[in-house]
Amino acid sequence: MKKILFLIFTSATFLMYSCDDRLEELNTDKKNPSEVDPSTLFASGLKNTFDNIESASVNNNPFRLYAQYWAQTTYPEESQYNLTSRSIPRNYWASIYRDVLADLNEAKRLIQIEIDEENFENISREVYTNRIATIDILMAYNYMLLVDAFGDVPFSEALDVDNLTPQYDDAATIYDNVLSMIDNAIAAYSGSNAFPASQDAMYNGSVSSWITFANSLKLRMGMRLVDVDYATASNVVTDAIAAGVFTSNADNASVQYMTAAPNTNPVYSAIVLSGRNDFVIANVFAEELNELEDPRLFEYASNPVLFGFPEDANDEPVDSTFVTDGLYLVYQNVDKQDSATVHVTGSVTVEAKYAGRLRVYKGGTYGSANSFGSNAKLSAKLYNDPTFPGVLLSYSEVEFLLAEAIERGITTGDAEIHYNAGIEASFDFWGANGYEDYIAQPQVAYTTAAGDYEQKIGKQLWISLYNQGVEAWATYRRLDFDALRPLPGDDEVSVPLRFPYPLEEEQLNGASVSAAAAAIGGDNVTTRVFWDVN
Amino acid sequence: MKKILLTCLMLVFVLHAWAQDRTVSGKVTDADTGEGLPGVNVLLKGTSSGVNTDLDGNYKISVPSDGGTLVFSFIGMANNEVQVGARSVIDVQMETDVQQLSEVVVTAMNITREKASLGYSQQTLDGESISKVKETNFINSLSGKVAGVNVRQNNTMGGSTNITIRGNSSFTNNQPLFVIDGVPVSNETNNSASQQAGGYGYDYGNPAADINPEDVKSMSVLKGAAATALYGVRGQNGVILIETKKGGSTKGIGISVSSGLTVGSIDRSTFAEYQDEYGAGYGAYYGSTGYFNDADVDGDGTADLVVPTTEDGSYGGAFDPNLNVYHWDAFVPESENFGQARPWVAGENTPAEFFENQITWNNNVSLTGGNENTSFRLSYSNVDENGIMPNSSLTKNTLNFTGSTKLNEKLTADVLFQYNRQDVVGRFSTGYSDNLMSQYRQWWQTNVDVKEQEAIYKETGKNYTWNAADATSDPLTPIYWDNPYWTRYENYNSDVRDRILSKVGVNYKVTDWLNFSGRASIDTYFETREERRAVGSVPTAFGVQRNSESSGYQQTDIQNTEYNFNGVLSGSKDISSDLSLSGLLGFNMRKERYDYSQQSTSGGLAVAGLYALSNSVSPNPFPFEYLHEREVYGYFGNLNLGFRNFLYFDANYRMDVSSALPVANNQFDYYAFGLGFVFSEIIDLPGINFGKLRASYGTVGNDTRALRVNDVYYRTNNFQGGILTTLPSVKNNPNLKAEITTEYEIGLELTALNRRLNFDIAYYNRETGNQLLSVQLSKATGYTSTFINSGAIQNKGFEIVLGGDIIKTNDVRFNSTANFTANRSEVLSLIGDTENYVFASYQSGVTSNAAVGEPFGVLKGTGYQFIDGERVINASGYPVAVTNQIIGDPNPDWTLGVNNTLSYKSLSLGFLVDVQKGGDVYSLDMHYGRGTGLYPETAGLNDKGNPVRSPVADGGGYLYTGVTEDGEPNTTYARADYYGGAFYWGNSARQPNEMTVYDASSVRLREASLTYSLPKSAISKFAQSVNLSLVGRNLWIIHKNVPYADPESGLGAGAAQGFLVGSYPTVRTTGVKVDITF
Repeated sequence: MKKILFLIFTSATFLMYSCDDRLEELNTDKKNPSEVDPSTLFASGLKNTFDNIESASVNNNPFRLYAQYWAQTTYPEESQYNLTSRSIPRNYWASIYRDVLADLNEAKRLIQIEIDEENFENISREVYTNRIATIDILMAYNYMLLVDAFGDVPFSEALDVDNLTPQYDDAATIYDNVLSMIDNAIAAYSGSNAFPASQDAMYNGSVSSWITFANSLKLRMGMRLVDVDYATASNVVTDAIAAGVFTSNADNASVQYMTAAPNTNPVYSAIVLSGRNDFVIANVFAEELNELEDPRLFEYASNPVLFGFPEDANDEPVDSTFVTDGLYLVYQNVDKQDSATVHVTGSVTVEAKYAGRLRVYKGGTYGSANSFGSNAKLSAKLYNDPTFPGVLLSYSEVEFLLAEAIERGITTGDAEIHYNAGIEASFDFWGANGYEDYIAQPQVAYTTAAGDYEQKIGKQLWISLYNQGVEAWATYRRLDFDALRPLPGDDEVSVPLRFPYPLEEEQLNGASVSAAAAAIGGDNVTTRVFWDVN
Repeated sequence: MKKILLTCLMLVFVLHAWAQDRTVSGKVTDADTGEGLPGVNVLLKGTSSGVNTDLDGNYKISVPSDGGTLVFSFIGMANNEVQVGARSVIDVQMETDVQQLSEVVVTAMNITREKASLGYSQQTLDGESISKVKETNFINSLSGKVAGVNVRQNNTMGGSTNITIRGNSSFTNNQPLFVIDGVPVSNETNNSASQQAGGYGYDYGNPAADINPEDVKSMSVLKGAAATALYGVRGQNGVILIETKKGGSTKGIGISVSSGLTVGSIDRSTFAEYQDEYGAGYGAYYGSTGYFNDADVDGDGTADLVVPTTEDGSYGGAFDPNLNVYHWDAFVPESENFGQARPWVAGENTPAEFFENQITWNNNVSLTGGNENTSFRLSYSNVDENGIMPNSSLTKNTLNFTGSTKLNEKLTADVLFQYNRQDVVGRFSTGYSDNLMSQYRQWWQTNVDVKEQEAIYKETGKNYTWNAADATSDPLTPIYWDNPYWTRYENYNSDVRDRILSKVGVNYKVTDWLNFSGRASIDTYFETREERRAVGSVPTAFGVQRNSESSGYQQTDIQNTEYNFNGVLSGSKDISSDLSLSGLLGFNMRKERYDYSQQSTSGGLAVAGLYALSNSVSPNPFPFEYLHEREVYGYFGNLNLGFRNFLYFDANYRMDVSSALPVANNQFDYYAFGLGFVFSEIIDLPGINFGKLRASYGTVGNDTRALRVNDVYYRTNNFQGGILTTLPSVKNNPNLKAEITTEYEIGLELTALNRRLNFDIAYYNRETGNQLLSVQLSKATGYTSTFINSGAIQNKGFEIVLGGDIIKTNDVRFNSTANFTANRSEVLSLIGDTENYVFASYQSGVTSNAAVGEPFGVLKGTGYQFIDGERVINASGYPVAVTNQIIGDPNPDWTLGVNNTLSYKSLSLGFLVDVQKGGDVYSLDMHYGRGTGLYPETAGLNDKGNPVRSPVADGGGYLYTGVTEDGEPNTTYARADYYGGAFYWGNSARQPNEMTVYDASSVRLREASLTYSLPKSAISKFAQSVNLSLVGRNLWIIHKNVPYADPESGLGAGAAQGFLVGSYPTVRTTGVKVDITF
């Protein structure tokens, strides 16, 4: 008996006091890394930046709808600006803070540790510094997205898990800080290499490309400020132009996606891989392009639908006379291949013999449910090319911004040249033909197109920003160009002017949300973000 | 034969006869019937020497030369103690015992104690209560039978059952611990987080369902902290101790055979009813007529009417038998309706006809045998079930062996070996996903005849769906929904679980008052799950990455092992004639390993019909894998003092060291005290046979799963040659501590009226602090959630058991026992000044919450706006919605189970009535199904006698009662002529979620059985006993308020309750059962 008791207690004692290391080892994850190269976190933040901006999911990126490029088919809720059923603001917010900024911030932290500890055997201080600069530029871009969508958001206290109730910073102040981040980053660069080429899908680690992007981003942000703080806007824009912005589509801040899921273009996932038929081209956009005789329509939309002829008592089609501001009629050959496209304007009669052979780019009614089959579809490129590039900022946009900067007296030059260059860059990007004829039309030509420079530039920028819903939404709010329409049954355009704060933020960080709501003039979709002064 | 069996099992028994002084024999009979009682435990008092009576009630036991005392005990009978004296034959009559005066019950660590001595509440169930009317998952059979225990099943074949004891104590795991003969049984529900929150997935059941009811002799339910403190870190949610049937000392081999067949069909009150006035569509959106697409189908040059097959709703054109239109099958070349227009009428067979009869075979054979030194029991069970869904089957095979032998005078050894194999094909998809119930309850066209879908699938084997994206040109490409038969027969899943549960124990009698027992056990299973998606299916989230895939294959492997090593030194001594002392010291080491790996194809299947990981179009994505390991060391002790059979004191202590917690916090302890005062021993109260007051206080706890302490990074898919890693969305916490539940409990037990009435009431108050929360974080922190210790939940309530023999004559006996439970939970605090914590978010924006000051698990979503208690109706006639409101509380006010047994001679009728009062459920099915116009209330006439779906201008529309925003009575009819009108599923401004919150109260006849024992005279030639039973379960829902669904049909096991989505109808089963003992 003594032996047994002895055995029990000695073994128990042994097990109890000898095993802390062993217990710790047991609680160590053997399937996931506890240390990683910061460049892998950067690559993730970059990929997620693109996925967020390119997403066509109605759960987090409804902006192609808000820009009225696309209409929905069976379930039109998001095009009616229903934001809460799918918690869209929450998802957009999370896509940026959690999926992008957290990884970038962590990468920056890890690199800073290397710098602080002076571990320069393999990577020089200079390259580390360049990497931090690169991260800062990408973070700046993402903070701009947050401010543009929400107004005041957490910035100075964000990304700190020890602070569960980060305060919301003033939107204008964040813009200032973000611009400083960009300036500091540009200043910090030296040499030519930042991240390894394989880890930087956008610019292959090229410092000069990142600097050009940083300047173009400054141009965009400066122009955002133009109505609220002309002096700052002027300085920022002038600096950016002097330092060098995008000069061709080759400079675009873009990545090429891949052929297989999950690395295809997110639009391809949403409209092809999903097997769903949720979207068609919107009537607002299709009619505008038809009217302007804009050949980009053939790239922006596909699958024109049958042109309907009236029928007589014997159900035979009869000649059809219609009045149009402008309409592309596509004549389809017997082999069903498109063989001719004509643009018709005014009162036109089409002979019945063409019944069944004529097609039109008819868009679905924006804000309503639509039949998928009886409306033209989205761009064939989006359908056919899973690798279609995603774009954060395009050369085309830069040219339009330059034109506007000239009009606003910030810089000098010929606005028309930049306006035309913006259109041309868009034609080139989408592979559209007929740019020369297009800009020669009086309703397009800069000198003769309707409206003031804001209207002209706004509308053409809107057309050029097709598929860049986030920026199109910001452009609409900033320039208030006259193209978007009210929802069916409404009198006024009711596109949200900002996202309300995620409901979840109210529950988790209520005091900060209340303070921010008070500061911005109410947590409403009609509250304007600080740069949207009218 | 016995030898062969033993050899087969590779067990070596040392059969060692030992010298005895002399032998006493006799027969034990039932005082009521005079028949021999088999299986009575005959124990020589003060020793561990004992035998069981044989099938005729005979026994033979060796006693010391000076005689001593024999204790006869049998469940349900009063113990008899008999002085042997000089006698060599002792016959004993045992009285039925409905009171617990000297009932011996199993308590923590399998210590048997007299129930009278306990300071806490404990309830025992005999095996028959779960084996008589058998459920494939035995946990379902506990419903209504134990006070304080709440059971929610989910109606899917092989699905998990949520069982909680005394409410929810934790935000993560509230399932009690199951222990079979001292072996803890893993009951981790390996369902995905998505499945548990009402998203996609299958319910793979809870592993405790592997316990075979036929092997269960009795179950002891330990509810409170004082009862379970010895389980420490595992005792927080209560413990269910299961004692298996054992062999006894018998002549020859005893054979029992039990065979049952039950047939089930759906309870139609728990399934959708459909309106039969309008068909496919969402409104007047299509073609020239508004309700049909125009296409020249017959080639005559004029447009024909084609059903809008893309629309998965029934808000379309009014049915008209004189209108011929082209349905989905008009475009299917193999269909007899190919090219034919047919009348526009409701489908003849609604989805209610989709369900098949559930057929369950349940067979068991067991062999028992033994002699004075060795006993064994071997049983084999087979359960074979075909579920209500086409192509669904579940097979369980269980082999169970228990044996024990006396190795010498002091040493006994016992062994338990159980092997299970479960094969399941075609589990039911759950939640808001490609679950067919969400198709039938939310997204359906009433013009579709489900049997025609079956006919075309069976004829062609192709996915001809009612929901083609473009029926006229391509009837084989669905837009949202596959042909439901295609879903069942082609996109099916399957899983196999092999499990071994084994224990070896030794018991060494150190002295006549001191005992050592050691035990080693293993519970291990290997489970493989396969999910298939056939080429040609509608794309849906599938595979490891949940990308949209139109075909694919996914395989999940789970390997789970738990070892336990136990050593307990126990002693018992009477200090004086007044004072008895007993206690124990023990050690437990638990070692767990949970290895999970999930792999899938990506981009589809290269070769149709081949379900292999290598058959992937794109490179296989990274597998999803995790490995959780944990060791817990427990040291415990217990001390009991008994004073003159009326005052009992009980103290328990346990210390645990868990590897799942940070080293600095990994050691923690628990303690409990109990006091039992049998006042009837000292005060003589008229009519009271037994009375006891009890009080106890205890603490128990809960650690966490492994890997929640240290941070890691996750790999994500490579992109453009780059390597990607990301921070997890969940932040781990290096400062975690164990949860602590403290609980006090007081109770009163009474036995009265000649022991015909039993009464037991318990009041408990438990508070769990240091609550381990997975808290949602502001995502501005960069994370979704983290784990912290904070917050407290309180559960308090009453449990009442009242029962007894209402009628008791020689021939007729009517026994009724009621179990009543009323639990109130309240979330006392959360982290810091946080007022609300969301622990599950569902489709449509409804959430499950812990809100300070509210019951655990309240549902939040959009609620009504009120002016002076009246609902506000907006200018269009729609109810106004207000966001972020509490819209329901899923916790019942009280539950009541009334168990009745009426017997007349050999005929016995048993039935169980279950009542739940209160508790709310939110129905996503109604939320969408009303919007899509499926249900009768969305059609028909309005209060003006006009079709509700007519335009308001024509007298149609629906009038919501309430007031306008100015407080005036609402007189505006809401339009109901399209889906977005009066029955629309709502948005942040109107038609709040609260519209489809229902009271979950119900009254139901849960089970009934009629048993006839054949007279001994008729069967004595071939058998000892033959029982024939008619059994039924879920026979009748007498009352409920939830339309078209069973309020109990939840999501399965998990903290998130009160959400109905794609719920399965309840299966009403009836059957026959034969039990024969040879």
